[in-house]
Amino acid sequence: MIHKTLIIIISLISISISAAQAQVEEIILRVDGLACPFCAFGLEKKLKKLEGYRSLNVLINEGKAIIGWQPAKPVNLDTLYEAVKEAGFTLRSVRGSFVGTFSKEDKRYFLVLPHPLEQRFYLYEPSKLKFKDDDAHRREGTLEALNEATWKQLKNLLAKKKVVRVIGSVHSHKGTDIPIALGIEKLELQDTKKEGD
Amino acid sequence: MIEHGYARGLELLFRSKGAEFTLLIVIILLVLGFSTSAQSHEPVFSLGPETIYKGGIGIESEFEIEHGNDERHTALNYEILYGLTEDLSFTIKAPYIIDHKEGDESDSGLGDIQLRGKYQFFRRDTLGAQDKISVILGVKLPTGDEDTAPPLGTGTTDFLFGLSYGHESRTWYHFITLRYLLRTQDDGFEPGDRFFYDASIGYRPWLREYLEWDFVTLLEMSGEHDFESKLKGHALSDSGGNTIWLGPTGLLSYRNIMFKGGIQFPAYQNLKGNQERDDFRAILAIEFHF
Repeated sequence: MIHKTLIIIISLISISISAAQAQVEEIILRVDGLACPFCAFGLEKKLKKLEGYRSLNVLINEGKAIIGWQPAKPVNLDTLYEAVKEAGFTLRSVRGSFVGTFSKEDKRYFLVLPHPLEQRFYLYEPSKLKFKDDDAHRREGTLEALNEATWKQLKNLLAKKKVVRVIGSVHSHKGTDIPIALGIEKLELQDTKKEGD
Repeated sequence: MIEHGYARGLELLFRSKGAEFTLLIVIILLVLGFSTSAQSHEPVFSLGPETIYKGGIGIESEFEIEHGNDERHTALNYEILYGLTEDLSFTIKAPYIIDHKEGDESDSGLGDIQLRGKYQFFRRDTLGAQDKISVILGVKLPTGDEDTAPPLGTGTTDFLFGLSYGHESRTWYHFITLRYLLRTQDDGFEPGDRFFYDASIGYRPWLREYLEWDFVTLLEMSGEHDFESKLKGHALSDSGGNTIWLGPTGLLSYRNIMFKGGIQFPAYQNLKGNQERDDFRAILAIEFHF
């Protein structure tokens, strides 16, 4: 009985740590058409209305808008595209910094942002898979979309239930219920103790 | 623009006909409404292809002065801009004429209100640059008093059709805008239509980031071709001609506030018959976006 209770408590603590660390840290938008600071005001107005908006830094010379994201808010790529469009610009790509744990289903790897987000990202490596390919989504998350070394690393991190930060570009699959795909550019282990403190 | 020479020539023709003369003087103000007014990084003395973001509201207050040998016109123009979508915007412009002076007579009051729609049917975005083309439609309503001397409105409803192309980049700007002002007929008098052909080039000397002061300077050329006016089907000799204005303008902005100003001089004038020449025209404006 004591043993069972202990397992439950440990499980609860584990879930709690994951939830606290599961987050979208920032979203980086590559915006085309940003030519002048005065025109960028419309972009500020639209991005500030996003549900996850926390802060904004517009870099005109780089054509970027960096949105600090509220940890507990999910990312909806369609609303990002819509906001930039309504501001009078074109959203070329979206990058982000996401913290979560790995999961595997149907031989595919995901980055999962647990409760309250519960958002899943297919994983792929841009060097292995071009997301613009027609059937790219069929291979996302599979060995075909990942280098062998990365595949092994994900397998290892999944087994150890490690919390990781993945930085990379994301894209959606319009008109389908397929999750957002995340192209791994950088993968780093989160210091769980530090985060827990 | 103040067409004082044009008005004076017509005055000689119709000195004995009071009503006609009043009507002719009204024409002097006809082009005021459509000659200027700008939004965002557009030419100060012309229109560009710019629209405002969806749901955006812009408010502009503009002081303008036009000066000729014997005439002077100063006005405060108030504009409200609304973006129905990011490609389609509407503008209402209400001019308050501070002083319109012709010879010894002067007057002030509300001028002719204008409505304008702009649809941006082409836009190409690249990193740090935009190319745009918009179609412009406008109407000027006869809200200004036409019975005063000099009159504050034309008493007619006029229509504007235009096409504007613009290229904006971090460093360079250029615009080409063509507009046609269709004037309506009133009591047998048919004022000549006007064709505007504008081109400008702009340069940003310092690459500023968002939430920093930003400055763009432009060299604006504004061409105006007036077609001959007619009275009961007969062309009036002291009407029609061509003027090309040239001058520098500047746009200074911070976040959602922009200050605009510029001056233009007639670099070329070829007016038919006996028409007076303009000396200069200038604009100073402030614009807010919300």
